[in-house]
Amino acid sequence: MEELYEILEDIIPGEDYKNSTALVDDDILTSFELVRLVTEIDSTFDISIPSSEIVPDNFNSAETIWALIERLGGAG
Amino acid sequence: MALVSYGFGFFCAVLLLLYYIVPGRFQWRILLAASVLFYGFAGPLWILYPAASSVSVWYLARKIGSMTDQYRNWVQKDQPDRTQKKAYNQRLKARQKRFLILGLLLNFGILAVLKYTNFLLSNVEGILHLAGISGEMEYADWVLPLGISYYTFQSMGYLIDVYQRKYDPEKSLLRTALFVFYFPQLTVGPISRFDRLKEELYSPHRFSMDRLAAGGQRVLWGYFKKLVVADRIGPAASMITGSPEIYGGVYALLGIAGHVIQLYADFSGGIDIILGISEMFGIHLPENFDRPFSSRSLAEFWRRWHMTLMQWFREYIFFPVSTSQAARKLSAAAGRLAGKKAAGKVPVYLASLTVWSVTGIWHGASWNWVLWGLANCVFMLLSQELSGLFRSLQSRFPFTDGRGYQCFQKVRTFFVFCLPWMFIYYPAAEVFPRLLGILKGEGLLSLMLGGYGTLMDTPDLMILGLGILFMALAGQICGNEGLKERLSRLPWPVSYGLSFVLFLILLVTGVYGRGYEASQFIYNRF
Amino acid sequence: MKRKKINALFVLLAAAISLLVLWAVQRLLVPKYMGMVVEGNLTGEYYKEVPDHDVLILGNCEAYENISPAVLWREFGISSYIRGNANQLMAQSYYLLEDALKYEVPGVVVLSVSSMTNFSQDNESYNRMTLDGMRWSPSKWKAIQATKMEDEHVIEYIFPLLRFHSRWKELEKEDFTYFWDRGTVSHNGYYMRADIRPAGEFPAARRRSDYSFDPRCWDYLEKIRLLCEEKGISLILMKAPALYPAWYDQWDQQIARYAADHGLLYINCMKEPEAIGIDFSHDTYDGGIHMNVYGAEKVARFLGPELLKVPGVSDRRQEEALAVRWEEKCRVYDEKKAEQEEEFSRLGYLKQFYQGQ
Repeated sequence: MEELYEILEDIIPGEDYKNSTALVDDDILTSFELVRLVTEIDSTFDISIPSSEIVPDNFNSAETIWALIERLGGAG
Repeated sequence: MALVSYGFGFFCAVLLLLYYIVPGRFQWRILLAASVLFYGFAGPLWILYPAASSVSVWYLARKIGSMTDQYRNWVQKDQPDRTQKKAYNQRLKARQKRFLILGLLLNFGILAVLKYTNFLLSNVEGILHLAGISGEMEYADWVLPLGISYYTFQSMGYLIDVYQRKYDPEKSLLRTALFVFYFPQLTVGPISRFDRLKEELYSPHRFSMDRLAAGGQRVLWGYFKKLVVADRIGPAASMITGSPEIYGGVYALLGIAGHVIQLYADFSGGIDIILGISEMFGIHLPENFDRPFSSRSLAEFWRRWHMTLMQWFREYIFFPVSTSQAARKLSAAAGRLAGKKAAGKVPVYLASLTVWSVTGIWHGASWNWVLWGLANCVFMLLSQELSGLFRSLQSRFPFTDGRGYQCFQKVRTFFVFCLPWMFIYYPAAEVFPRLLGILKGEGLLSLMLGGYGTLMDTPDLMILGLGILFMALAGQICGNEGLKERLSRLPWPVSYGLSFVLFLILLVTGVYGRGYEASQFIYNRF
Repeated sequence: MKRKKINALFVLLAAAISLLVLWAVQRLLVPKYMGMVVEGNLTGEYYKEVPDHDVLILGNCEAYENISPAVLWREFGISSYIRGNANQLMAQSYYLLEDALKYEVPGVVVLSVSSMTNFSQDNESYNRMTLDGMRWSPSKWKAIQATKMEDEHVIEYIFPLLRFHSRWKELEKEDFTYFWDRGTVSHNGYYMRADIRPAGEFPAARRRSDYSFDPRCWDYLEKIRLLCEEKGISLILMKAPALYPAWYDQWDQQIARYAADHGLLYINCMKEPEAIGIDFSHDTYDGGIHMNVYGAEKVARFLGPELLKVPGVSDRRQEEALAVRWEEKCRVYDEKKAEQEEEFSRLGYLKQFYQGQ
C-alpha cells in the first residue's frame, strides 16, 4: 500500500488520494495520469494490467486500485 | 430525413402515439420498425449497411459469449486450479479474438472503404505525381450511409465489451438490430454503451406527461440553439472564412470563433433534440456535452465536448494502445536511454498521438483533419508537460486563485480550441502567418462588429447576441443540474410559460423556411 | 375533486392564451398587401360579397386588370365578379370556381386563356397571394396540392406564420394599421389603375419550337368545362388585349378549335382592336402589358352585349336590392377613379404604386 501511495504522490501531487473515492469521476485522475499510473504499477509490482481493467470503478480510490493489484497477483 | 423538417416532426408525433397505444412488450419492436423506416427514407437499399452490421455483431457477440459460457461452466464443474484456468483462458481468448477481429475488420472495413477510398486515392495520386507519373485518378462517388460512423463505433464498442467480458451479449437478433438502428442517434450521435442502454431500450414504458414535457422542452431548446443561433451565425462565419483575401488577419480568428460557436450550437442543439425525443420514449441516451466552454484547459474541454466519442476513444484506443506490448517495449527502451521519467511518458505520448490522429480522420478524410487532431494533441501534451511549471508559478502569484484568473483560463481555452480549426476553415495554409501577424489598429470589438456587422443586419445581429447570451446564461444558472431538472422543479404554469415563450421566439426568429437556407446538421456528415 | 377542477381550468386557460398569442403573432406577421402590391387581398375579398353574380370571371392578370365590372353593371345591368390573381394558374382557377360554386351558381363563366401557357408556378409569392385568401375547404387543399412549388409545404398554408415569420425584422406601420381590417382594395375583383404609360416597342415575338400547351393545362380546362356543363353554366373563353407577352396564332388556333369542338364562345380581343376601340397609347398603364381603367372599361363595353346574349344573364337594373348595392359600388369606383386621375395629373404617377421612385 505504501508503494502505491508513493506512486500516487508522484503522479497527482497535492491531491487527497488517500481519502478520495472518486479519483476518476472527479477528473483527478484523467486519462493521462491513469496511463502513467498503470505503467508505474506494472513495473513496480511486476504485473500487467489489461486495458479491459482500466475502468473508473477500479481506479476511483486507493483501496480499489490496491484491490486490483491484489487480484492480478501483484501484492504478494 | 432531416431533423429540421416538417416530416420529422410528423414522424415523431405519429410514432409517439403508436408507441404508447401498443402494449408495452411491443414498444421496442415499434421502435425498431420505425427506425428501419426512418433509415429507409434515405433510400431502401441503404438499410443493408446497418443491417449487415447488426447481423454480424449479433452473430459474433453470441459466438464469443457462448465460448465464455463454456469456460464458466467448465470452471464450475471441474473446479480447476489457477494454472489450469490460466492456460484454458489463454487458448480461449485467442479463439475469441479471431471472432472479434473478424467483426472489427468487417465493420470498420465497410466504414473505411466508403469513407477513405478517395482519400487513399488522392494520396496515391500525390505520390505518383511526386515520382513524376501523372495521370487522372478515377474517384469514387459514394455517399456515406446515414450515421455510419456513429452506429459502427457503437456496435464495435459492444463487440469489444463482450470480448472483454464486461457483460453478456444480447441473444435476440432483432434486439441487437434496435441497438444499432435506434433512429434518434443515427443523425448526430451520441454513441451509447449497450449495458447502459439495454434496460430502457427493451423494457415497456408507460406514458408520462412529465417525461413528455421534459423531453419536449429539451427538443425546443435544441431547436433554439440550432435555428436561432447556429444557422444565423453560420453563413456570416462562412463568408469570413470563405474569403481570406477580404477578411484577413484578426478576422480569421473571428471567423473561426464564429464557426466554433456555430458548431457548438449546432451539434449540442442536435444532441438536445435527440436526447429530448428519446426521453419522450422513456429512453435516456448518454449526454454528449457538459458546458465545454467553462473548461479551464483544453484537456478538460475535450472531456466535456463530444463526450461519448472521446470516451469511446479513451476506452478502446487510448488504454489498449498505452498498455500494449509495443508501448511497454518502447517504454522500456526509453527508460534505458533517458531514465525513468521518460519511460513513464512514452505510453501516454504513443496513445495520445494515436487517438488524436484517429479523431482527426474520424471527422474527415483529409490530412487537414489529421493536422487538426494532432494540433489538439500537441497543445494538450504541452500543457501536461508544463503543468509543473504552472503549478509553481501559481503558488507564487496569489491572484491566480481568483475568479478573474479562472475567467482568463476559460477565455484562453476557448481560443486554444479555436486555433486548430484553422486547418479546417483555412485549408490553404498561407493565411496562418497573416493571422498571427495583424493584431494592431482598431479595437477588437469594433472589428467584431465590423466583421459580422457588415454581413448581418442589425436585428439579426441582436438576436444572435441575445441567443448566445441566453445559451451562456442557461449554462451558468443551471450548472451541473441541467435545464431540465431546473424547469421540472418550477410550478407547471411557470415552466409552461417559459417554454411557450421559447417556442414563440424560436418560431419567429428561427432561421428556417423561405429566404433562409435550411442547413443540415454539421455533425451528420460524419 | 375541487383541486382537479381548478387544475383543469388552468390548463384550458393556458391553452387559450397560447392559441390567442400565436394567432395574434401570425396575424401581425403575415403581409397585409396594402402598399405597392395589393393582389394578396383579391382572393379573400370575394367572401365579403353577397353571392349574387351572373358572370364570374376567372384568370390571371389579364382577367382582373382588364375588365371593369362597374361598367358592366352601369351600362348593361350585369352583376359580375372577377376571381383572378397574379399569375393565377388554370388549376387555381378551377378550384376557385369550385369554391365559388359553394356560394352561388352564375350564368356565365368567362375564363382568361392566357394562363394556358404555363402550368407550373414560377414565383412562390404569386401562389401565396392567390391561395392565402381562400377560405379553408377541400378545394383549397386540392388547389395547394396541385400548384405548390417544390419547396412549398401545405403546413405553411395552414400556419402562414411558418412562411412569413422572417418578417419580424421588416414589420411596418401598415402591419399594425391593418391588423384588424384591411378594407377593400378591388372593385368586384377588379384592380383599378388610372395612370397612363403608352405602349412602347416590344421585341418581336420569338419563334418557338413547340406551341403545344402543357397537357395538365388542357386537363384543367377540360375540368372547368365539365364543371360548368354540370352546373348549367355557359363557359366563354377569352383572350384579353395585350401587346405582351405574345399570343401566338398557333395558340389561338388550338383554343379556337377546342371552343368549336365543344360549342363554346371564344373571344380573342386581340383580333378586335377596332371594335373595342383600344388605343395602346392611352389605355394601358404599363406600356401595353395591362389595361388601365380606360382600357378595362372599353373591354367591358365590348363584352357586355356578348354576355347579354347568353341565357341566364339579363339586365337586372330593375332589382332594387341589387341596384342599391351596385350603386354604392359604383360610387366608390368613381371616387377612386377620380382620386387616381387627380393624382396622376398632378404628379405624373401614382404614389402607391411607385414607392421609392
